Amino acid sequence: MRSPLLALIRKDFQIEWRNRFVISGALLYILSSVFVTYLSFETSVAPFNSSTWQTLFWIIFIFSATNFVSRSFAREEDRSKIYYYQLVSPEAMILAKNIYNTLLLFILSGLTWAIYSLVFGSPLKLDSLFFMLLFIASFSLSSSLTLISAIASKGANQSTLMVVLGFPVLVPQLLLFIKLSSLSMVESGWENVGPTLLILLAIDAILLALSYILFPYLWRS
Amino acid sequence: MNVADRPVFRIITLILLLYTLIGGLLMPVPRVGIVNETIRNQYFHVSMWFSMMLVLTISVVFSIRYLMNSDDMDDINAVEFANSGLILGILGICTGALWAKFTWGAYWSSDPKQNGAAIAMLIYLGYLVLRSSIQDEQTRARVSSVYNIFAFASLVPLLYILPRMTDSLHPGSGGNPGFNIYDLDNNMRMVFYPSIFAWTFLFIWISRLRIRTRIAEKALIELS
Repeated sequence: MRSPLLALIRKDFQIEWRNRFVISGALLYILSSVFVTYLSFETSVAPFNSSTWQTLFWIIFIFSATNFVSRSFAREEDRSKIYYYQLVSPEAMILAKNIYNTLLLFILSGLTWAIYSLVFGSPLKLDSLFFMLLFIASFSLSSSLTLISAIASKGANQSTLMVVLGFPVLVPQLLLFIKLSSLSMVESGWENVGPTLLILLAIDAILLALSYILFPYLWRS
Repeated sequence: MNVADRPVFRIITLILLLYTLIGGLLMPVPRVGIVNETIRNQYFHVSMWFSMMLVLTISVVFSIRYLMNSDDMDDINAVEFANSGLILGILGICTGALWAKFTWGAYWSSDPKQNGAAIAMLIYLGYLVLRSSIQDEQTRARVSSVYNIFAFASLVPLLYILPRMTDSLHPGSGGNPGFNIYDLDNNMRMVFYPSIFAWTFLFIWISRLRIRTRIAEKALIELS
């Protein structure tokens, strides 16, 4: 007997694999936004420094992440929603969505980084710290955006709501990502980023716990 | 009858407000370089900010109560206290920006607390947009309660943890001493603490009026 959590994550990956247009759509989204910014900076005469590099990187990433996560709860049609409602607990559902979003956002962040540094170059050192940072960023975005996407799916204009509701909530996290990546640019090492990392993880833990507690109320409506 | 609807509450509120205005503008204040007479804004800007946090906390408590027992009254309370908190926040930003112009030299100097205040306003505007985009009353109440709680939880690190990590022009952070160290003397305390109550009570009064209007409107619709 497989646990419902694993089954749900597996189901999400299988659906993703069957509709490959979603992941290729996300990829194109990143590709075109990176290319548009690249061409804009090519045309501009103002200098492009490492501070611009990372601000732009995180902005592109949070936009594509928001766009991607917004589909978490829109995809299931009403009929299958009732089906899942009878099968699994809402807690398992939100945790499964969170884990699934974390994993896919991690892949997306890697792709974003690859495309982005292909055209802009990369001032970051490619070490375990950097990949850890990408993973933690994916985890953070997933912990704040998954519940927001469930909220936004109840509203009329989902994509607008996603940005309007999601961005103010993820500002603290975004500021911490930029701080962390700039810290790791100046000097690589765990002791350097430790305190900031702990604050970020504490915020994530609070948001994750709240999603876990609050999601059952959304699920029922 | 709700305590906040009693005449006694309104009289106390009016006395506190008058005291804040008259005492705040006329009572002696310490002379501090740069700040000078603008220190009187403490009774407006700082206390409005405090009462915003109190009013928003009341709103979140009502949202939690709504999720626990699905009572329509709790939802009406939550949205009206959030509205009041939004107005207090806008007033707090405006009074703060004016104060900043005279002491720091610019209305907006990208201070972490200023930015945090702006984002707090974005969150509550988003809350109102969310409410207006859902037609069904019960779904609206439940979904917006969830957002209210979630957003409030993300506001706390934004307003109280992150500003402490970076330099801020505000007192009490980034190496600046807190107000109580050098200038919140006993004279100022005598106006400052009552002023927090004055603004909080005034906005509870306003919220109560709007809540009762909503209840009356609802009753009218049910009658017709």
